Amino acid sequence: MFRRNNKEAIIQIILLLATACLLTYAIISKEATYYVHPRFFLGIKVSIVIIVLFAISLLSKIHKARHNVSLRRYMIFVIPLAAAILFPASGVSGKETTMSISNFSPYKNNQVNTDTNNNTNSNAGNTYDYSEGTENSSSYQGDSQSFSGDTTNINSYPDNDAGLETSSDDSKDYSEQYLQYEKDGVMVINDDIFAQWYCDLYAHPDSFKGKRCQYLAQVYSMDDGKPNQFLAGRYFMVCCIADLVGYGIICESDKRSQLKDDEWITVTGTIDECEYNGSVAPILKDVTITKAQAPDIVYVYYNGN
Amino acid sequence: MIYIDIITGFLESGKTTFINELLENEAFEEYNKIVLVICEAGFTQYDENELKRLNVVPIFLENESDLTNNLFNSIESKYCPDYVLVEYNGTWNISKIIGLKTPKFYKLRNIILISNAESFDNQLDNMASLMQPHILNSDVVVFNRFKKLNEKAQKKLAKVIKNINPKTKVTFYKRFRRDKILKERFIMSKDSDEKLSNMTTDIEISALLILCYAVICVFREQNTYTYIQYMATVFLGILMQAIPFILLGAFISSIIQIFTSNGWIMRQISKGRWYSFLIAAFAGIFMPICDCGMVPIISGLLKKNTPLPQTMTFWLSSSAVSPVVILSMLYAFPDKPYLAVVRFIAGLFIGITVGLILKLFNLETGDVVCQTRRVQRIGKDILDLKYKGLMGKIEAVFAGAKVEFFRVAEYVIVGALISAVLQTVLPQTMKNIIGQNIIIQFVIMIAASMLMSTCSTSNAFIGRSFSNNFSTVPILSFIIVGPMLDLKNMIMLSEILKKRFLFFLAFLVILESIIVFGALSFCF
Repeated sequence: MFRRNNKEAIIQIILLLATACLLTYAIISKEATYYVHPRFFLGIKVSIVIIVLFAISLLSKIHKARHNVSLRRYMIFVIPLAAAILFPASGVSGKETTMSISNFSPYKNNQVNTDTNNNTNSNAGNTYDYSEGTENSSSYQGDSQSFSGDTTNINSYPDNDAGLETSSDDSKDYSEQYLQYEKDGVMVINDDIFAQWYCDLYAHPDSFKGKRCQYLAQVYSMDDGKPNQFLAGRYFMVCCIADLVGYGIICESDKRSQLKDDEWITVTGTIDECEYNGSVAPILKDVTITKAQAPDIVYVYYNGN
Repeated sequence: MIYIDIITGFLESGKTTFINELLENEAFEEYNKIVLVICEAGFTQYDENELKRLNVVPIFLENESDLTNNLFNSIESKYCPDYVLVEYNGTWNISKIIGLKTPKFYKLRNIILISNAESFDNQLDNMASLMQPHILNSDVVVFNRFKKLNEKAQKKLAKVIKNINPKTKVTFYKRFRRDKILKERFIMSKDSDEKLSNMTTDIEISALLILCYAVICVFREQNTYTYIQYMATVFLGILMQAIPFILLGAFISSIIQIFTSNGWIMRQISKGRWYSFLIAAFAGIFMPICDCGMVPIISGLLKKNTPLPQTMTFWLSSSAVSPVVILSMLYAFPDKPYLAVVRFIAGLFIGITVGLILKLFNLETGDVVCQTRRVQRIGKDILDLKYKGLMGKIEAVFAGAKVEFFRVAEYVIVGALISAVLQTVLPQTMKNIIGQNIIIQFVIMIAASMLMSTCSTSNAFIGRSFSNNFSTVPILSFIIVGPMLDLKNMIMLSEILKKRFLFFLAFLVILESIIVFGALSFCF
C-alpha cells in the first residue's frame, strides 16, 4: 500500500526553508552587512518568521496528492540559493567588490586598479595577515609631512558644490557634536559616526579647519592627483550593495608609493582646506599612517540624518 | 503493473461517449478484465451487454464519501483486474481520488478532463474552485463541441489551460483513433513519453552540471571569480533588500483581493471623473514602501478590475510622493531642499498626465491585462481553506500572500539578475560616453535609470554621486523617472500587464519626462 504526496508542496517547503536558513545565517553571522544596510535587518527577521510560517502552513498540503505536477517554474528559485552558497559574501571584501561601482565615485578608480589589486592580493585571499598586528607595527609611524597646498588641475571632487554654498554664510560650529570623541587633542572618528562626520565635514569645512582627526580608512588612488596624494576613505552603503560608493578625503604623504590600493590604514591628520578644481575641499595635512587590520564590518552605513 | 486512468468532467460533457470509444479500441481487447468505476449517480448510458462483451465490470459509487482508502484494495481482492478505468465526477474533489491508497503495483497513469468547449469559459469563471484543481492535475484536457469556435478562440482555450498547468496537453477531440495525443497516452506505452521527459530533465541537469563546472573553473581564474562574486553579491543584495517589501506587498495585495469587493474600490477610485486622478496620485503617500513592494499591490488592484488610468496614476506617482522618498531627497541634497519639492510635483504631474492620456485613449483594464489574469486571481473559493469565519479569513490572507509571494518572487529574481549583471557591466561603458551635451546626458540618465534598477528610496543618493559628471536636470530625470521605467519593475509588471501596453506606458513616461525636464532645464 502506498500513498502519493504533493511534490509541489514539498518543493515549496524546501525552497522556503532553504531561504529562511540562508537569511538566518546571514543575519547571525553578520554576513548580511555585506549585502544590505543594517536598518533592513528587522524587516529581514520578520520576513524569516513569515517564510517559516509559510512553510509550516504548507505541511498540511503534503498529503493533498497531485498528479502531473509542473515543477519547472521552481528551477528559477535555485539561482539565488546557488548564488548564495557558491559565492559566499565572506569572500568579498571592499577591495574586490568596489571596483566597478567606484567608477561612479568621485575618486575614479578604474579597471587598471582592479587588476593590480587582484594580483597583489589574490594569494592572501581576503584577510590581511600583518603579523605584527595593528597599531604597533608602526612601519609608517611618525612620518608626517607638511603640505604645500598647490592642488590645482585635479578634476572632480565629491560634494564640492555643497561645500561652496553652505560654508560661506554658516557660522554654526558643526564640529561641536564630535567633541565628545576627542582624545588627547585628536578627534577619533569611529565607524558608527564616520558617515555622519564625513558629510558634515564636506558641508561645513570651516567648522573643522585646524582640527586633528583620526579614523580607520582604506587607501584609494587618485588618477588625476599628484603622485604623493591618495584618498583615505570608506565605502558607504545607503540601501544595499548596489549603491555602494567609496568616499574619501585627500591625504598627502611621501610614503604613498608604499601603500597598496584598498589597504587598511589608520590615518591621523589635521584638516585644512584646499582649492580643488575651483572649489573648496578638505584635505588632511601632517598625516600619520598606521597599518590596520580590516574591521569585521567593512562598510560604513549612511543613515541620512 | 496495473494502470489506472481517470476520466473526469462535468455531467453531459461527453465522458461516457469518450469511454465507450476508448474501450472499443482494439488495444483494449488484450485486457482480460477491466474494472470501470463510475462515480456518477443516476442513470448511465452504458450498454450492459456491450460492457460484458468487452470484459468490463462496472462499479458504481454514489457519493464522494464512497471514495475510501479501501477502494482499490477491495477492487483488487474482488476482481483482480488488469486495468482500471474511472469515470470521475467533475464536481468531486479531484485530489481525493489521487490521494487514495492503492496496492503497490497500481499506477495512476492518466487523468483526462473532458470539457465542453462552448461552456468552458463560463464554467471556469463561475466554478473556478471546482475546475482549477481538475485542470491542474490533468495530463490532457479534451475539448468537445468546439465546432462553433474559430481557430483563434480555440488557441485562447489552449492558452488558458497552459497557464494553469504548462504540462497539461490540450486536444480538440474528433475520433479517438485519429487523436495522436490521446493514442500516445493510452496505447503506446507511456514509457516512451516518460523517456522523452526524462531526457529533457537530463539535459537540464547536465546543463546545470556544466554550469557548476564552469563556476569551478572560474574559481581558478581569480579575476573572473571576483567579478562574478561581485555580481552575485549585488544580485543577492537587491533580493535581500526586496524580500521584506515584497512580503508586505503580497500581504496587502492578498488583503485587497480577499476583503474588498469589486464595487468598493471602484467607487473609491472613480468617484468624480477628473479629481479621482488626484486621489489616486496622492494615495501613494499612505504607502510608505519602496517600488518593488508596490508591484504586487498594483497587480492586486488590476485583478480587481480597477480602472486602468487611475491605477497607472497611482503606480507612477507612488514612487515620488512616498514620505520615505521625500526624506531621502532631503538627505541626499541637504543643500538643495527644493529638489524634494521638484521631485514631488514632477512625479505627481507625470503620473496624472499619463493617467489622463490613457483615459483619453479610452484604454480599459480588460484590454491591457494578460489573458491569464482571471486564473491568477486569489479568492476564498480558490484557496483550499481549513477554517471558517475569522480564522478562515486570516488563513485566506495568509495563503493568498503565499501564492502572490511565489508568483512575484519569480519575476523579482529575473529582474534582479538582469540588473545585477548590468550594474557590473554598465558603469565602465557609461564612463566613456559621458558628454557635455545636456541632451546626451539626459539620454544617458534615462537609459541608466531603466537599466540600473535602483530602489526609489535610495536612488536619490545614487543620483547624487553622478553630480560630478552630470548637471542637475539630467540627474533629476534619473531620480524621478527611474522607478517608473525601472526594468525590474517592468518585468514584474509583465506578470499582469501585456508587454505591448508596458512599452506604450514607457513611451508615454519618456515623452512626459522630455516635456517636464525640458521645461525644468530652463529654470535651472
